[in-house]
Amino acid sequence: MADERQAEFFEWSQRSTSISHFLVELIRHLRTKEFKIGPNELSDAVASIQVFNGLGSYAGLRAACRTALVKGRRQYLLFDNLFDTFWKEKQRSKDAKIEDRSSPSRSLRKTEPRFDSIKEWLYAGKHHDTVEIAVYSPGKSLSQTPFIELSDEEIQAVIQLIQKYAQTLARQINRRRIKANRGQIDLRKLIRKNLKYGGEMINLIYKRPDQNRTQFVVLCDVSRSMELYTRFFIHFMIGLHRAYRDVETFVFSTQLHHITSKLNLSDPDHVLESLLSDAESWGSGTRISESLKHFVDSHLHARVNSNTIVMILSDGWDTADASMLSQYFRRIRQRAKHVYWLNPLMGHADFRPETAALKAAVPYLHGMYPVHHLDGLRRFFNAII
Amino acid sequence: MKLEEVVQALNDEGYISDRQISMSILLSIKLNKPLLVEGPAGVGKTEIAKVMSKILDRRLIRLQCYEGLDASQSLYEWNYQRQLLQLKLEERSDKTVEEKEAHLFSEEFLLKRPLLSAITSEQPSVLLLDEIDRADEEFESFLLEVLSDWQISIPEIGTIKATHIPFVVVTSNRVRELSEALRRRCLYLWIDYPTIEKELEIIKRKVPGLDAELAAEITHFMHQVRQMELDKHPGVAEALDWAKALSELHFEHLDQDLIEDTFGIVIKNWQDQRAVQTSLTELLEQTRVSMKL
Repeated sequence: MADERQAEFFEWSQRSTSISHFLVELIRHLRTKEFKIGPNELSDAVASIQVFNGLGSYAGLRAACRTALVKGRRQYLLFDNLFDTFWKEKQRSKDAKIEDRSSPSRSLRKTEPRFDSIKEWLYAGKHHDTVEIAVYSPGKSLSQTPFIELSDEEIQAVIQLIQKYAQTLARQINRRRIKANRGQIDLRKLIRKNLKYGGEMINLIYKRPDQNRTQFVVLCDVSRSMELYTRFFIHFMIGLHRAYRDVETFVFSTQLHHITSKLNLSDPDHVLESLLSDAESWGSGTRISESLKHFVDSHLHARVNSNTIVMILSDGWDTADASMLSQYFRRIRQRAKHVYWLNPLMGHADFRPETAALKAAVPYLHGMYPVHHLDGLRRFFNAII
Repeated sequence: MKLEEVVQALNDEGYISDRQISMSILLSIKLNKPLLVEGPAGVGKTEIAKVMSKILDRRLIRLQCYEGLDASQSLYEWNYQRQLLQLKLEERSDKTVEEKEAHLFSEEFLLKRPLLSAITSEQPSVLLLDEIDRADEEFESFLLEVLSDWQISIPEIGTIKATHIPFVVVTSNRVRELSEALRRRCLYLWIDYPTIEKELEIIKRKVPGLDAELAAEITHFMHQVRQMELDKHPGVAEALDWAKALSELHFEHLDQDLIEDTFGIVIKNWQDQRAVQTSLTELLEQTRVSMKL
């Protein structure tokens, strides 16, 4: 395979007069796979190929393009395969042309797979098979539609809204400034404090970004009943974490998992899927008690302090003994700034906190909020920030 | 500069790289685009800047990013105290208001922070922006301005253009995802944990007195540890620290006791320590298997 490509490469380098043409097609192919590449990247790629001219191999060409075109880890991992696919399709379409020229009788025959690949190549991936129709439905906006009622397309839209909201929220918190001893001058306070000196600026007053700021810790229930809500909430946490550092995410069903670092490195849906398909959590219900015990024993001291807001996202259904739960909630409450319970079931009008878990928790909570739709989420955060 | 020269120069300075790293470095220099290096902790991201400053014979200007980093700490700040004193001193002098103002807002009273230093440096420099994921988004967008235009506007002085465009290395541990605008402005390089062969080469190079068998055991063992589910995986830097320590103590083989006693050099987190201790026999077993292959 490698030798075949090497041979193809040599032929291409002999034949090819336009590197830009090749790159334009490559970039078009990459764009269909969600690489956001523009004219700047194109000129970088041209320069890259010129700089690494002496590499003289297929792998070298691929590496030169990769160096210039890749802008993130996800792209880094996908690039080589995408390049190989693109190369193969180019060869196929090139062969198709040669075949047509050499044997005109065959030119009428079109085989299905080849047609599809050329179609994609020509139309730059725009699929004309599906047509989007805008649907107008008066009444509930997406923000107020409960998550369980969303259709597949709507889910994607809501996830994007969630992430946007998270980032706006993070920026709001980031912009807070407090009094400091060095840094940026706080002009307003400066003038005010120095009025008594009659115009002489004796005392300098500074401001700097608030460093003792709120930290968020969330414990998400990933048992079957909570799967959907957790998924949305985790997208929120990711959006928040992009702009705001002090965010820790845990998930639990029968065991507690600390997933903040995993969320940075992989696609969140993959992370959730891999957790949900774990043999131990399949079919069995939540064990809030054990998970909280693990949290309190191993993470409470390190991650929770008087600036931390702890959130528990769960419907409260617990299969195990709830006798120790009060203790755990009490300890968390003692250490944290605020503790909140986010319960999707609160969307129902006749909800009462009646499960053992909820009953144990209620005395130690600062609040319980419904989060079965995006508006609920917004209202919660606006209330606590 | 050619690719082979870069590879050779890096090697000479003790930085064992691969082709992708060298290509990214060279292209970054040629295109005058900053190099964004991402990867897990301790794999040699910061070292690139240090090594390149030696190779290119340029001053290394380092800005260690942290939460709350802003323009006054990274770009410039007026020396307010001195300005006030100067103002007091000149109260009775004969200078006009314009002259006094011009003096007060001159370079004499300007504290140059790393970004401004790098731009106005008389000789070309290497600018290292370390751990930029620890700074916030606001800083990123502000940095982007500087990296795009290579000039800084100081309202009282005017626009300062770069005398030389520095070779910029930006590192990130991926604690937080960086903004797309910044990523597109830079050339991206991902450095992962090295392969067993590469790590062995690094250890042998950096710790020359180390017994060869032990070096191999260390490498394979580290490889096994990294497969575990830990809070903080140890990087190459930690492996080197451990190797150096064991070399100084003149050990020749890894065994359970030795690891228990010394592994604190590699794992700095008590939960991970506990996890490693409990799986120690398995890890050693897997190490032996791995070494036979």
